[in-house]
Amino acid sequence: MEDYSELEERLRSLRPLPLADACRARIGAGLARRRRRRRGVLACLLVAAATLLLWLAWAGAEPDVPPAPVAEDPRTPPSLRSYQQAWQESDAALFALLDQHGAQLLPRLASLPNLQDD
Amino acid sequence: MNTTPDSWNAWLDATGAALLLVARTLCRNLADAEDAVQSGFLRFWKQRAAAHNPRAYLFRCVRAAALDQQRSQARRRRREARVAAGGRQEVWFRDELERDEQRAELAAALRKLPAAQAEVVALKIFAELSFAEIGALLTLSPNTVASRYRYALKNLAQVLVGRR
Repeated sequence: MEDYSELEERLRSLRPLPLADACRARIGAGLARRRRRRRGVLACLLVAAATLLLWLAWAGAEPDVPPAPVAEDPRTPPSLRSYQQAWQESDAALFALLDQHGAQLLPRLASLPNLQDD
Repeated sequence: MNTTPDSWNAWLDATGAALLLVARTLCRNLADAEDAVQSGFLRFWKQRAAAHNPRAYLFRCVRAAALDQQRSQARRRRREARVAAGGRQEVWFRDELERDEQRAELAAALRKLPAAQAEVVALKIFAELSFAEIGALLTLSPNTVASRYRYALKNLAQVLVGRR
């Protein structure tokens, strides 16, 4: 096998052309552009995260108060209440009336002409 | 080179000339080779942390960029236009500019080698990569790389003897 060590030494002594300054500057500019882009993305993420945190803080600070019970208006017509409730209330009112005034009412009811005819 | 320079400038100081030479073996003019070094270096810098062997990976990135560039139709048209317009002198080594005849002769012989052989010589001698590293880079076995290297040296020797 031939010995090329001398030739290798001669090759090693050659000095390749260095990178031109303009090429180096373009590489630097490319890296700087990439850094700026990465910083921009980071800034956007930070703003989004801060907005989310603020929103969460604002939502957490709101008092969790249950809605106030609506007072029952006595003028509310029975038709707006539940049918069963209205029925029970009217029954109770009728019986209370009969308890109080039944003794006086019954003779008068009996004396009414329509009732006598029926 | 075992040290790992931190800044991109230090990387370029250590490898810039060899990167350019490797790109020159694949590209046919200096401007294209510089473009390949630029885009290959930017690709390397982005992914260097994940590289097992950063130095070999840098050469792989520049080589891939040079090959991509050669495939690009638009760039080829521009290159042809530049060559047609006169272009610049094809010089790979400072020695040629300094008119050192013996070295210039060797540089010219290297330039005349087939691209695959010139590339292996550039990676072995100037990038200081091992046959195993070059094999991984070129997806060849280290033995194939070594025999290609020896063919290149044999061809160089023949060219130099033929000139005398």
